[in-house]
Amino acid sequence: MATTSGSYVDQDQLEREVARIRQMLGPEVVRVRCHTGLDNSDEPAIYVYVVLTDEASRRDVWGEAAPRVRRTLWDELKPFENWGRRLYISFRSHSEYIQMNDPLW
Amino acid sequence: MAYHDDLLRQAFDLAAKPTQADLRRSVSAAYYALFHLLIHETVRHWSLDSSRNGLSRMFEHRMMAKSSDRIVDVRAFPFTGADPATVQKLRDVGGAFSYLQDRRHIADYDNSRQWTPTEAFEDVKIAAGAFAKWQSIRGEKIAQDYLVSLLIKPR
Repeated sequence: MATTSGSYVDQDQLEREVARIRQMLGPEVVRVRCHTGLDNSDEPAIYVYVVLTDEASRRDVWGEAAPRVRRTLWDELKPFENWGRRLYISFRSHSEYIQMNDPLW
Repeated sequence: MAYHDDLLRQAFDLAAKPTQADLRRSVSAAYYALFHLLIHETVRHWSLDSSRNGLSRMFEHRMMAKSSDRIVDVRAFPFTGADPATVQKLRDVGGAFSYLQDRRHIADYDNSRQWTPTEAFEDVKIAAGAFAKWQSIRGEKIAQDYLVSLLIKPR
């Protein structure tokens, strides 16, 4: 479980946490990135971008992989939320990740 | 079929289409589906049918998000004595509302953001999950208290 020592969360600290959590996720996860920022209510937020394999992103199996990954990230990043950071987790398939070439991801 | 159910179905339909307009409308519809479900669940208790539409118009997005954020906060709302499974479902509904409101804002206004079918579908699934959880707890007191909190500013 992650711990935080103050209300300020820097990007390096967050990336270390996500790298640690990444080891807990299954082979269906291709990539995880995270950023801090403000959400649309101007509340401090953590945005986590998860790339799943195309197989895990198929809609007939979607009910299994994404919620499991979301729950793990949610549980492990909960301490950041307790320090007033809202957590937003988004998913893309690997094909979408390649196609979009989005620097945020 | 109720309006919120229609919106959820529309959100699923649009998430399977390829254009940015479709995907963005899908995310927006997912949020509004949950928004209207919660309003419907609140005003149905108002006995005078002719007043329900007027009461529905009193809800404010930001106020509803703040109330939803509050019930997610374990320290502020421990729900001592309540069934833990019910509490978790209620927190999930509140969390889904706040999450989807932010996503709706991006989908409706941020033209720099590109959406994929997977992202849109996942957001619609969150709304669908909130629908299902709500159905299983809607008769519980803490769920009904939450509905009231969506409309009435705390002192």
